[in-house]
Amino acid sequence: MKANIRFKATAAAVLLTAGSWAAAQNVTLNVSAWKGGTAEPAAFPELIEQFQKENPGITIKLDYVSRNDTTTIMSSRLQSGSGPDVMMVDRDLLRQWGGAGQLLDLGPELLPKLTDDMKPQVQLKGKVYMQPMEVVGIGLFANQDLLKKAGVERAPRNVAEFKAACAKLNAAGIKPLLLPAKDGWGPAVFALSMGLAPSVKAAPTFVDDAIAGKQKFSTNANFVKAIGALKELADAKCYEPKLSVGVDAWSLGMSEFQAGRVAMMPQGTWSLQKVPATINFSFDPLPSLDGNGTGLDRLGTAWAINAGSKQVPAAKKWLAFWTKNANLGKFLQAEAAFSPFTQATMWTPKSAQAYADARKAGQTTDYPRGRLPAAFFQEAQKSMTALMLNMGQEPPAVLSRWDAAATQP
Amino acid sequence: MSKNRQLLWFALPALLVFAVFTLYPLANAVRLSFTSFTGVGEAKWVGWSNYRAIFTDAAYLGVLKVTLGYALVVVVVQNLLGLLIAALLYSLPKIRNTARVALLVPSMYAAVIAAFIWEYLYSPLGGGLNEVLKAVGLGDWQQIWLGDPSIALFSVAAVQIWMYVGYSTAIFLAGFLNIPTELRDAAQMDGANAWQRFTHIDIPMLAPAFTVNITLSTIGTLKAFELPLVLTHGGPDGATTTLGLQIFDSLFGEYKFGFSSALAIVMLLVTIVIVYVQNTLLRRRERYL
Repeated sequence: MKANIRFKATAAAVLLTAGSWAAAQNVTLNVSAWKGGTAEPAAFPELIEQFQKENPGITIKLDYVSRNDTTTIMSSRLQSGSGPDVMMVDRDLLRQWGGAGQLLDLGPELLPKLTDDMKPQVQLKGKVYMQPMEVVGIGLFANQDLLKKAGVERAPRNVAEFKAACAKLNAAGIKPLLLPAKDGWGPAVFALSMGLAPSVKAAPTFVDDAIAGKQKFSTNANFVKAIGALKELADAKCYEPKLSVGVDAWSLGMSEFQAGRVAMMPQGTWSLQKVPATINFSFDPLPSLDGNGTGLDRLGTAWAINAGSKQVPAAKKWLAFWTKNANLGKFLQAEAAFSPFTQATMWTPKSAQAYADARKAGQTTDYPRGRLPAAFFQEAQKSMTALMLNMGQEPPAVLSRWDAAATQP
Repeated sequence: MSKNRQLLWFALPALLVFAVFTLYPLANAVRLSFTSFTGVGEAKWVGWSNYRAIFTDAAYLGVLKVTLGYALVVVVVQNLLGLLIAALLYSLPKIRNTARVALLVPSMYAAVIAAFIWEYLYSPLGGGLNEVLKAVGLGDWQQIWLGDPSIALFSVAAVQIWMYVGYSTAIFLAGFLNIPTELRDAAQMDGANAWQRFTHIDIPMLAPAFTVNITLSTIGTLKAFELPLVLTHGGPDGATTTLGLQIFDSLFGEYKFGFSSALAIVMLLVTIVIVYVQNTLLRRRERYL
């Protein structure tokens, strides 16, 4: 009888040990993302398979959650302590979740691997909360065939060049520029790039100072000039302001460019692959007040680890996997985006070469989404729509709406 | 066990579902509306400040004005059109059923898809509407339909009316079919002409149809969100920002969960008050039947 009990106890102990060993070896890592679904696979299936092959004890369970649902559903899950281990985030969510202590501090080890412009963007109050996956660029789509037909050598890089190019394009019967302003985005990115680049160069803390109310857009000479430049471009018949208000950048505007009916329009790298191969186009920096153009770089998506995750070692392996050039490259190629890492290959299509060169030459500036409050962008874009409807507005009056929105909590 | 108690037991499951899925979320929304909650972290109690912002900030008062204007245009035009089409179809029994189904088809589209199609029809760059106007010699009437603040709200409202006029027609038509023919015959024998029969018999007898149509269309339009979102995203410069769209922007754009809840409560109260007043007046009319 005693031997029987001893045997049963030993068997139970062996089974328990084996069970816990197996459990330790097989980890399911819950990952949420708004990319990787059927509409935008972004090389996820291939990358997950490769990761699991390299890490046989870890199974990735990917939950596709749209960006809007991430705001509500993921916030609720995090709040209730049932969030996934790893989450796709962006700068807005970093502010939101990092500020509420829901994200794990990844430590400073990541920083030396990132390009200089990315370093401040992944941090909040000195802590590194996310590992960037991509840098998206906002620049100018330029139909090279139409430009050549009008005798324009390359996409114009500053206001003077732009006006000269518009004259040639108009003379050739080609619509020079579409500045989609239904939601104000087109003129807003023009004004931001023209005003922000020289302002940040003169005072690197310009954006933070604007948030603190120490700097004002309405009294900043560069931004006043930028609004003036939009008027100059309208006077030079580069675009029709009122017509622009009826056009959006994402459907009508893209359709016009895809059909080859307009020479130039502001767009982002995310639309590079939407242009048909029959259109010979380039992705250039936006025009600057003077000089050689300015691109607006924006941190796209990133990975963050839930501060309450019980699978931190596995989560860190997942993040480390995405730092490898070849792995990240598959994602960047699918997304036509730039790498946030210093040691990186260019994965964007050839059409983005001009923008890539501008990045190398330091002609890009940080698009301050996620730094300035979201209300700022809504108000800035609305003010641009209002400007398109009434070009007689004085620049300081237009920009005073930006000042008020920049200081909102 | 008394009969009343027995009935209560039968109603209990439904009451529980109602409490869990309606009352609890509503109570939670009311609670959140008094906080500065941003989705995660602490929901700080801010008292009436969200409501104060809604009723003192010109931008939000503008949103309320746009919402009420939009509802007024849609409810009036949709129901007038529905009444006229129903009267026409009532007098054309051969095509009545086919036309009724055809008119209901737009309401079966997803609003987002309908808006997407109309965005192209309204396009100032060779859009269908402007091209048709040009083709029929009305080129001077061409407009930037969604870009001109003075007409953008009407352009969005037109899409909503196009989508749901079939509903109003179907309800009015059912009302017409319920009017006893003897009444019209008697009026005709007494020498009443078609207009007199319409205004003195049809309109009063259609009172229940008016109640249903006006109530449903008012509730639907006060909550309007998808059409302004896709067609204009509230633009130009806020000219088409409805309360529903403002809630969406405040929540998903600015992470103001508490403030969005306050906006949602305001929307609920506005809807309740308007619909209550409407219903009281319309039901009073029905009593005279």
